[in-house]
Amino acid sequence: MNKPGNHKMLGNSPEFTALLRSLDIAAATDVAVILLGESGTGKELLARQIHRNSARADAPFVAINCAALPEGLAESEFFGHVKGAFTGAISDNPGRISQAEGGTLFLDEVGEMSLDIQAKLLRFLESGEFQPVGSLRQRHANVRLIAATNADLREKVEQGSFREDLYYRLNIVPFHVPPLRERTGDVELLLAGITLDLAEQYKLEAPSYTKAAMNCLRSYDWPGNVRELRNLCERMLILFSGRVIDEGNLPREIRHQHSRRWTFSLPDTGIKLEEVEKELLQQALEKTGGNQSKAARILGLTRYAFIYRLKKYQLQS
Amino acid sequence: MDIGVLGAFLMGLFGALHCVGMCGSIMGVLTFSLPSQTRQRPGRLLGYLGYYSLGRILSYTLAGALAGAFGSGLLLSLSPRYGHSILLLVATVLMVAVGFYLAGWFPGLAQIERVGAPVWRKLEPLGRKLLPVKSPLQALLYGLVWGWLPCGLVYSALFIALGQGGAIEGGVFMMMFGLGTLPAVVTTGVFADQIMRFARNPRMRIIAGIALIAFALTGLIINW
Repeated sequence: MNKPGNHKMLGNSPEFTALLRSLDIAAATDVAVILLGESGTGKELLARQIHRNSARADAPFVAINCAALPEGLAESEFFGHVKGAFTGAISDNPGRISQAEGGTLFLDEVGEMSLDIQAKLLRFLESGEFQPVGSLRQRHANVRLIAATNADLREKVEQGSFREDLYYRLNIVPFHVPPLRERTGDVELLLAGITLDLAEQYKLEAPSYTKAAMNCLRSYDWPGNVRELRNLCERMLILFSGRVIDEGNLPREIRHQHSRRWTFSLPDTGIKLEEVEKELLQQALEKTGGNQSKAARILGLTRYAFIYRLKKYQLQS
Repeated sequence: MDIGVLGAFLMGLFGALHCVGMCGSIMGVLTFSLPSQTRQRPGRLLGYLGYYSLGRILSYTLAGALAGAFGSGLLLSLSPRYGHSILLLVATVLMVAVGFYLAGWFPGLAQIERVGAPVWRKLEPLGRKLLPVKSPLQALLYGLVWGWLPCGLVYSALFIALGQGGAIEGGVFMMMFGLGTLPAVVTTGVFADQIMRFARNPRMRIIAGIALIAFALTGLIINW
């Protein structure tokens, strides 16, 4: 479906097509790449596209969601196990790396791996060798690695939850996947494309959108990116099949995006403003890892005004 | 001071800071797809990076010469008295637009990339045949193809090259633009992560954008 130069279903904005052109070049080589971007931006689709356009296209594409692997089973999932390696290991399991032999191994949410697995993965990436659980024999696999994450891996390295050597091994060629709000014109294109696809799938008549509804969708921030857009298309198709959707028919969070960017409402019992302020100051410090300048910025304060408030509430010396 | 070779160099230098997000990744791919024996020898690696960039800059120069020749014909057909002023004004407006684009205030300029998409569709398969690069000649040829990759900044520079007065002037203008991009693009091939973080810093982009706008306006005032 998506041969080089035919990426309309993924997006057609200059920001996205520039990325796709670069990925086409990456696909023609065997270099390990990492896709960095917010959740829902389509990193797995892009990884599949790299695989499809690569010399490994006829071999398997194996995706592993590192965040979804249970701690105890992760090693076996990655590297496989032999019969009797542990309770319940009633037969040999080749593991995902072996399954990807000759093809592409896609590690999604790579920042969520445990340190133990990180060490073993690093060894595999450096030597191409790994040891299934319960086996004494080394095995070898030839795979191309594509990783993806929405986390700041460097921050994780600084926090000690991600190995520095693995970070440098994975972060050789980073590609930034733009969020939907930064992709000029892609909301309209994807909305139409996804709606038509879903309409065909559900055997329903596609709805249409008024100009006001489209303007509203265009200016929405799409924190959940393409995944959120897809969910909206599905919901609108089911609720308004064959009808015209106006601004008022859109979900509340999309309609009220400009008037309110958070969902705080005053409790009936009231609240002390001082408490809210203290809470926000603390949250800002937590979010920025104690960096007062950054914390001040996210609250729209000068550093001086922020420190004044910290002293006022005796939150931090 | 004119929007001439210095302007072209600065446009490339500041602009590359913005484009490093994409071209930096391409340079990273091209660097790390080289045979490991080449990558482990800094002299050889630098040679290959040089060939990639030489090819890219040669393509810019050729495109600049074509634009310059076409533009000088256009200049002659316009009034000889006002032709230069009109082209200077157009060049300034474009450079200011690029400044806004770099600062992140005018993302719409990227739409200009669509102009070159048909050319790239023809050249891209040729480029794929050259990968993975195994010889300096392949690196040079790949660089030549890479020079035609659609890029809003390159196209804006080409529009300015139209008003440089001739094929040689247009070619030199684009060559200087290409040389301006060298520091960012070549170092990104080796230090991808560090350079990209620097280039993605909105403050750096705003500084680069404002510097380019100031340069363009100063050039206009002096030369008007």
